[in-house]
Amino acid sequence: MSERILVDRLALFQAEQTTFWAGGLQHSRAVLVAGEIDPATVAAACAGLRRRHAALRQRFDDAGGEPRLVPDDGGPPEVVAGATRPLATALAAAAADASRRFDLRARPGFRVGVYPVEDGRTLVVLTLHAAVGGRSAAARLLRELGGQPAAPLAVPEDGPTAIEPRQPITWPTSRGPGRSRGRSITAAWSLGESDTALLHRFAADVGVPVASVLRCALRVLLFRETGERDILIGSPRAGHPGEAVVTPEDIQILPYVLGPRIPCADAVRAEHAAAAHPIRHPDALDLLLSRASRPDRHAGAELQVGFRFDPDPGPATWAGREACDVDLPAAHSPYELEVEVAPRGGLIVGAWRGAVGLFDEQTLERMGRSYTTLIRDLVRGSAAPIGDLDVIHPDDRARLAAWEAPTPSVSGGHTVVDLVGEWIGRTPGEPAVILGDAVRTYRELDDAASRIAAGLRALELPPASPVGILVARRVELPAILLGVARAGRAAVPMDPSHPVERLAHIVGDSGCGAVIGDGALPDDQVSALGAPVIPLSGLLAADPEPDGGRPHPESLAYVLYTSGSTGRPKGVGVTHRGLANCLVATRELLDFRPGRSLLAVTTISFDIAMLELYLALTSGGRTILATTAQARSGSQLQVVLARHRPDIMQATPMTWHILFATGWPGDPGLTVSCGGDVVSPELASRLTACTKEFWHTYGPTEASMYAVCERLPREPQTSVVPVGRPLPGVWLRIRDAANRPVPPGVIGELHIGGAGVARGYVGAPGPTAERFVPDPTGAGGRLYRTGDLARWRADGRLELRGRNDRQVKIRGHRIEPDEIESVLGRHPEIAYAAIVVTGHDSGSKRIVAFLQPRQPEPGPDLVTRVAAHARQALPRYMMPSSYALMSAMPLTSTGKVDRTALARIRPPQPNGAADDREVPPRREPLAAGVRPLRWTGREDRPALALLGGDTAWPAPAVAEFERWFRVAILDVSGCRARDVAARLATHEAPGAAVVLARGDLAAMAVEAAEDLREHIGVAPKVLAVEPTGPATPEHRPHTIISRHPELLREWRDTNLVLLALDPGAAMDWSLLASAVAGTG
Amino acid sequence: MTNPFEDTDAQYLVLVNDEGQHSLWPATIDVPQGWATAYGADSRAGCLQYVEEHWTDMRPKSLIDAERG
Repeated sequence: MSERILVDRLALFQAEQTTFWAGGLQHSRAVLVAGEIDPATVAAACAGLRRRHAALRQRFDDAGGEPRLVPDDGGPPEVVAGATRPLATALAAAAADASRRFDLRARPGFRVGVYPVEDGRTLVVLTLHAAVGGRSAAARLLRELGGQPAAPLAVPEDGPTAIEPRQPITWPTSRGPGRSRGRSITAAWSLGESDTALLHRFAADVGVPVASVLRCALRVLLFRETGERDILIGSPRAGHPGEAVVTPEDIQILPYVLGPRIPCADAVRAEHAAAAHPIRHPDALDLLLSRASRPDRHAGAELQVGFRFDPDPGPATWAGREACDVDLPAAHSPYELEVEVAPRGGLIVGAWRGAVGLFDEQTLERMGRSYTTLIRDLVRGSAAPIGDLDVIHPDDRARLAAWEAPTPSVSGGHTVVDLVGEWIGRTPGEPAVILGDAVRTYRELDDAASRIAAGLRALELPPASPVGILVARRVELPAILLGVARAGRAAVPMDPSHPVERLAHIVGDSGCGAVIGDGALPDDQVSALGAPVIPLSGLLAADPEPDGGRPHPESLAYVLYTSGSTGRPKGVGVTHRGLANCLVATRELLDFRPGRSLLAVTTISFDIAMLELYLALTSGGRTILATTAQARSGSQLQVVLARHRPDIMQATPMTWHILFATGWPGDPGLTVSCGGDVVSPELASRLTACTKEFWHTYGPTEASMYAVCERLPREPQTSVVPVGRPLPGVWLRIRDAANRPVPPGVIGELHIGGAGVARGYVGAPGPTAERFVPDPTGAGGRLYRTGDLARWRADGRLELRGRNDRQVKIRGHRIEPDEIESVLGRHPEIAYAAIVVTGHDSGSKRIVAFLQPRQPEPGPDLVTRVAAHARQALPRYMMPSSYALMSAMPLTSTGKVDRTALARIRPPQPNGAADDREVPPRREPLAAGVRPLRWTGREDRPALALLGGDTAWPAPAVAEFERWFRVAILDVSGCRARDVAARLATHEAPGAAVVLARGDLAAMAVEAAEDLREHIGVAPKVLAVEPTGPATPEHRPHTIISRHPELLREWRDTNLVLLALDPGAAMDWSLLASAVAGTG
Repeated sequence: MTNPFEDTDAQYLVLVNDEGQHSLWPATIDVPQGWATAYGADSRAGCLQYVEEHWTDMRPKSLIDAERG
């Protein structure tokens, strides 16, 4: 009977045969016996065990990979005899032997080790393969080996077998999804004598076994660590039918949804009651054993956590001698996290095991400390709800206090006017600002700033009104900013390429008294701004002000607009104190000294431009300005870098990617800094390897640019690249969803305090009061609630872990989907608009708009009209890249728009030729009454490919292509047909790639791309070149072909354009740029 | 669990510090040192309305004093 069960069970392994044969989970028990033990005696006892237990007389045949249980030929059992060693070494040797894999083809999965210890005792270890038996079976066999009969085991009742699929838990570690292959690391854990006594008394008072209290405490801790209330805990079933027979361990699943607000005793009782109805998951053990071989499938994701309470104290005597149980550090666990506890003497001892690749030792030890703290709080009869128990050990509290400690501001009472003024006085003849061939010395900078300040004062603007800056990128830019500051005004820097409606909102919302212009904005749009535009030339002609003004540190230095969740961009008012603290702190960190230079590439509508423009000027160095065109072009940026050899450049990850894509080799003399978006480990490794220094930075506009930064070491990067420690004058707090501090390592919302905290949102006291909250540990200070999720690594460096709201970063731009929805929803023909951001990484993210028209049969070109409307209000980076019309929106059970359902809808094809394309059939039915009308769409930014005839793609042309369209090119023209799919599947960002294919390969590539879209939701666009070969209607390349570049003007609203280019012909990129990009 | 700072159904206080800066605070949590209750407890909307009506000059008090003097 039992053999049949085993054979049936193993048939389930079929898909995981490789793992099975490679060895896997093993269970060991060990005992330390007084006196010497002869290995020959043990071997003889093993033979007796084999006679009594059928499972120990069987091995596995490899039937074409499938394990088949067959009788063993009765060879000698595997007995390892160690040399005499000190105890610690003997334990290590025993652990290594216990972890050594079985050759299941040769002999049964059963091994005994005998290790003499120098102190005269002997360590005896028994190890079983999980297909033979579990840990309790190992304990029983070990006891039997020592000559004692096994105690009878109770058989629990069966419970339900159904299990709901659920999302895997995200662990508070810096590692990615598990690839542990079953290996684990262990941290020992124990509860002291007095706490154990209190635990027993508490359990008795509540009326439950100690095991239930400990399991409930584990569940509470996991809730506090991960935010998950309904984690399934796997646990070995207490016993087996058929006392004499050893069988594989049954895993039962203990479900319980924790109610964090209920009193402790009630929660513990409920936990205990849940254990009376475990889920008998028939395949649980198989899932666990095979998980390691298929991490991608999240096999058994519902069983990530294991809890084992082992009441068996181990034999007190063994072979007639005094003995004690010993815990070997197991190298295997089927779970991602497994907690083993056992009463031993007056203590509770145990171990935390975490999967290699998911956990490190420090995290396991810290979790152990949190567990101890929580149990102490629990058993002392805390009146708090169970979810509020203390989980921060005093040692960890002290570490947090050190990492989160307030530090004084480093700029004192100085402002940027003083900081730049110092160098104007000290090195007036040195170059300060450079753009192309134009150079301005500190004296000239001072002169221009004085004139601008005087000119602005002469205007007698309304008190406290800021001054807008709406100029092209020019060598006077730093002088304009400095002049505005000296005039006692806050600057409102704007980008002239943004829609005038947005600019007018910014001017009106911030209350600009005037806007400094230089003709960058067309005259017909100037009047729409709603404030007088003062020509820069006029200001520069004013008499210089003899004595420059000195702004108060608490006055506003600048107001910058970021995407607003309420539907309008919101203005962040940053103080001179915040700006100066960031400048001085960064100057010290980067060791910026006179004579050094910084290349500034960022448009002034981003706050980081303030650092780029001012940092060198506060250090006696030079600010080198890149033009807008240079900043966008990898190849042009390379030219600028080669010409000026700057010492420092900061940019978003995308800019560095563009530079690398155009063949930039790096520069061992260049210090680079990068932030504003997720920095991948690949980018971090590349930048640390090929530059002088790489600084990883982070900071929201509301915290005055940089809040956290560090120089990354030149070493392999973890999957989440840490961002370091706070700047001097800045402090951080990480809080959970209930505004409690979290233990080190646990993910929570990042709060920022200190000199950098902005005054708030200009003209918006309500939103300011919501986001800038009292610092509970500071006397009257405020913290900015960032909405960014973060955690402290064990080494005290900060790690960013996404958002707690809908805000997204796309290619470095901070975007609130609510703002886009609000703009689209203001179109008179639209009843409702919903935005979904698709794509996995920053490079492949796209904005998809779902529109519900007011009329059931919207007229033609509705999308064109809505897109034109959106272009009036949104900068290009916020424009949806495709649109879908919906007759109604899918709703959640609470009546909200179900964006998750929308995200599952296959995104519209970015294909201008596909206006009539029907929606592909959905796998899941839409909610009743919802009928998708049809997809229609166009790329906001058309892609463009080159046709090179039979010659190779010209490398400069490919580089230009990548630059203009910010995509990676994948040329499959040299691939064999059968390799196309593999080439696409292995690309790191298929959604951001464009495939160039020739001839027959085009259809093949389109097919492969569609397969990818089916499987992972994104796919490269495919551009075919002539001849396109046979293309079926379903697999049409996304192309329009022209041999006449000028026709591109008519194709603005199409998406993918294939351009026929004669080999060697000169390409007029400016013509293409205006045709392709000039959609306004 | 709903974030006590984001719960539209919860009761809030409006706190004010020495600089006259206003902030919303969950009524269930102790008022932190350095802050005084200016309004509430009331609904989130009621507290926001109070802030919009009473925090009309967002400059900190130390700056207002400096610019006046």
